[in-house]
Amino acid sequence: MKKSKQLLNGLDSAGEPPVFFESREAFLKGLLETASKLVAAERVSFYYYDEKNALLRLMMRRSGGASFEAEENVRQGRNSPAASALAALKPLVFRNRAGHFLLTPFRIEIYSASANREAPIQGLIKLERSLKKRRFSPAEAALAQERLGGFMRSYYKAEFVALNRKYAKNLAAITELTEIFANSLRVRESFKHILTGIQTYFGFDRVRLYLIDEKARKLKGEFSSDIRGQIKSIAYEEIPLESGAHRFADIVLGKNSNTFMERYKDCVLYLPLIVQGVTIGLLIVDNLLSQQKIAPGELAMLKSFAGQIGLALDNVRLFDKVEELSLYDELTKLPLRRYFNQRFQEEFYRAERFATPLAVIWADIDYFKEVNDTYGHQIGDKVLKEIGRVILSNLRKIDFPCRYGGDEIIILLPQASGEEARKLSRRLAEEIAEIKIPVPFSKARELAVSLSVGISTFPADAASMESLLEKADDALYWVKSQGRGRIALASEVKAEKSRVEGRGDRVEGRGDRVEGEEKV
Amino acid sequence: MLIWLLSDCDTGKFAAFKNLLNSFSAQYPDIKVDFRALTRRSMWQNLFAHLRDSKHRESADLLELPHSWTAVFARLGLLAEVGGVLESFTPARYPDFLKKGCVPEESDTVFSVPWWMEAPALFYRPEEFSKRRLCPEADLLDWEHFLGTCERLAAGNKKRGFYPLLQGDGAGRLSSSHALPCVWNRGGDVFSEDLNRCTLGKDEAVKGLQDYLEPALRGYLPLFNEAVFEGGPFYEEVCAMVFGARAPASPGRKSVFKAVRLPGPRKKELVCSYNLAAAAGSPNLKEAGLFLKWASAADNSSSFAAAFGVFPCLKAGFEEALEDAREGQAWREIFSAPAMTPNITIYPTAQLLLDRALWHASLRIARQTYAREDFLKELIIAQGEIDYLLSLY
Repeated sequence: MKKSKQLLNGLDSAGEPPVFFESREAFLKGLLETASKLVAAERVSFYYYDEKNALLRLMMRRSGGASFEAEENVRQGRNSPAASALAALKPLVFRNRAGHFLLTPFRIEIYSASANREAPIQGLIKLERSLKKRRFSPAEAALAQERLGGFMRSYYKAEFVALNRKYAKNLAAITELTEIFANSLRVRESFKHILTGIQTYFGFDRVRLYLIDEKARKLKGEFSSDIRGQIKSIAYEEIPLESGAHRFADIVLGKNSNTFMERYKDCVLYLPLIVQGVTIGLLIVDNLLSQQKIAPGELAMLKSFAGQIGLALDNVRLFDKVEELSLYDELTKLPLRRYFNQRFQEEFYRAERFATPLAVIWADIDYFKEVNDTYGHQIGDKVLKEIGRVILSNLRKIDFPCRYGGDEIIILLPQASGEEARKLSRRLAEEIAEIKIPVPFSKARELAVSLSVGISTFPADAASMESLLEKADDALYWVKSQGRGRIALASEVKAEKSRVEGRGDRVEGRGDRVEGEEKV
Repeated sequence: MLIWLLSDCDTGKFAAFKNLLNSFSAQYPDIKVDFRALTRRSMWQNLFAHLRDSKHRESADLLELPHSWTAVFARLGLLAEVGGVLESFTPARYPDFLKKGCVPEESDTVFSVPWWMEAPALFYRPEEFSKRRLCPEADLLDWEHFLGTCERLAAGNKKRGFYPLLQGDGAGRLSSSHALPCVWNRGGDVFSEDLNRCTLGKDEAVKGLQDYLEPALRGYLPLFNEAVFEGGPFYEEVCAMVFGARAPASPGRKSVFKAVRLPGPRKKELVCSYNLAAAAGSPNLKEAGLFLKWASAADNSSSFAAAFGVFPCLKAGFEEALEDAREGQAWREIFSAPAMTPNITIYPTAQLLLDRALWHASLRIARQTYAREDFLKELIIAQGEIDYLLSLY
């Protein structure tokens, strides 16, 4: 409102059209106010000519001292006043039973971002007076054409300013998004940053990211972001990577485009993420809820980012893979000793701080060296793989297993007592006993595996990390010395040792009993 | 404080609103209020633009919305809870059928307050009917009779520019709000009863839509009529019936039309309510609340609605307006079985898609290139898109 007044004042004093508009709305309001004042029109309407549909379409109207948008679409007849005024590009005055009319046509050549070329904007300004008032004079018509024509020419400048703003925004987007993509290293965080970056600069109804899991031949959902930038996981979405299984799979496989897709092309963009010729995922942005077209400029820019996004995602995945390799054992999929030491410190600190128990299971695969020597390392690897699988499928989320050495496995059980650790060990031992590894060219045909297990608990058995491990190792040693394939708690071993020492006997042979122990 | 209003086919609404604002300003001189009138499409785009970039794209403090927009914009976090801006809101003061339009699906939280309402109807000129010996009760009974009536009116009046039927607004296109009663006539609908599926492609819905297109296809109803541009249409002389929600009249003259319910055997009548809602991010929520309370008060809402020929939403005011209305009997009949469009997240989008199909059909009819197959194809695609949206939101 204030702006429009400034514009009008400017026009009244200097007779020059204004040069700047805050927005298209301000421009139209200013134009209509100017026009109604200029020739004392009771009603002024701004129409643009929609060439594609051959319709005159109302953009804004001023009546009763207020400007408002309204919907009006008109197909003018070949000899109608509107058609004549548009064809001649000259003002036209007429009257009918509804009132006096003055039509002021305009036509300006302007760059159209959507058409990607110079495209004329044409239309007319309709000025009306009631029949009680005098008709529009030729002088008024000429004045209106001159002044309003000048006003329209400054529309150029308004569009130019808008275009400039857009370019500035795009430049900022390029700079910031490039930085985001380049600095993305941590998987989950990076995915979120990438989606947030896209939403900040483009603002779609939804953005979704899917990555290809080559092993499972699936397209897996990662994250989605809504129009407000809220990010949520879509890990529950899994699409088989087979032709015809799903539209997304077809796009990734390069088989798509039907009528449905054609209809979607204005408000959905499917962006396969390709790195060195290999498709690694799919980014989907859509404006389906709002049904608003994705601007061609945005389409082009996002497409140009696709390579960078793909590269960033690939980097992230590689980083993740390297990290996984350095922390996890490839055979058993169990964390390695380095990772264990770090977690052990954290868990021990937590147990001390909150006075909660912490149990340690130290397990050894019985006769593993002999398995390797007799049947070869391939069979040994199979044994390790199977044992890793059994362990991972039996643990709670808070438990932490580790391949500590060649055939040694340690499992940390936060908030677990010795008995609970024994129960778990028993379950593991039972399942492991069921593992049958086929051994070709051998009389045995199948290899059976067993574990020896020592268990210690904090604070019952030890007050420090080193001591806790030592006690579990002692218990394991005890089991091994008793013939393997058993489970022993450190407390029981201690009691047994005292008993034996008290008797003055030497501990020897398989027949000696450890309290609570079961043969597996 | 800025208020966004929906534009209207009648400039009377803005005059009425300006009067309302003047009264408000007299009572609350410290609150500066401005308003902007936007078309439905423009408001939809502006609200989404604000959601995308709230820093650079302004939104109003108070919004006038079709009731069916409440769910989507509440879900997108654009609307403030009415409980947070009004000290008290009593749903019991409103007719039951309006309540669903104030709360999003599966929720008890009120996000918008009903302000005024209207219902699509058919307006006819008794003079023209009696000249052609037509009886509204019998000759507008169902769609077949209605088309027969159009034919007789067209045959009986050879005046240049005369059409048996016109549209009450200047949009010039066919619209979903008038199409829906025709779909209901055939037992169809936009959604299945449980609102889980779109049923636009079903036979009943397609037949209903085809009924709606028929007057335009037969040339009884002009589309994108140029008379609109030239100050018309001069209802009294160039048409016998009008599709609309308000009695059509030339400026400054009393309407000569009478209202009847749209022809057909449907068991419910479409009612559209327009609600006021405060924007969640508004820095002027207190002022918005004050205006909301003031504008929805019984006297103010009744006088505002009466000023441009629609109905207020408060039960007492509505019943009073129904009593006082010209053609009270017709309106009572219409409002005896009121039905609102669903207030679910994706309904506005579904309406956009149906309107898009009708827009293309309108253009093709006007250019005389209409083919039923094209329209059907569009409906099937729209149905697919709506079903997809239903699965997402």
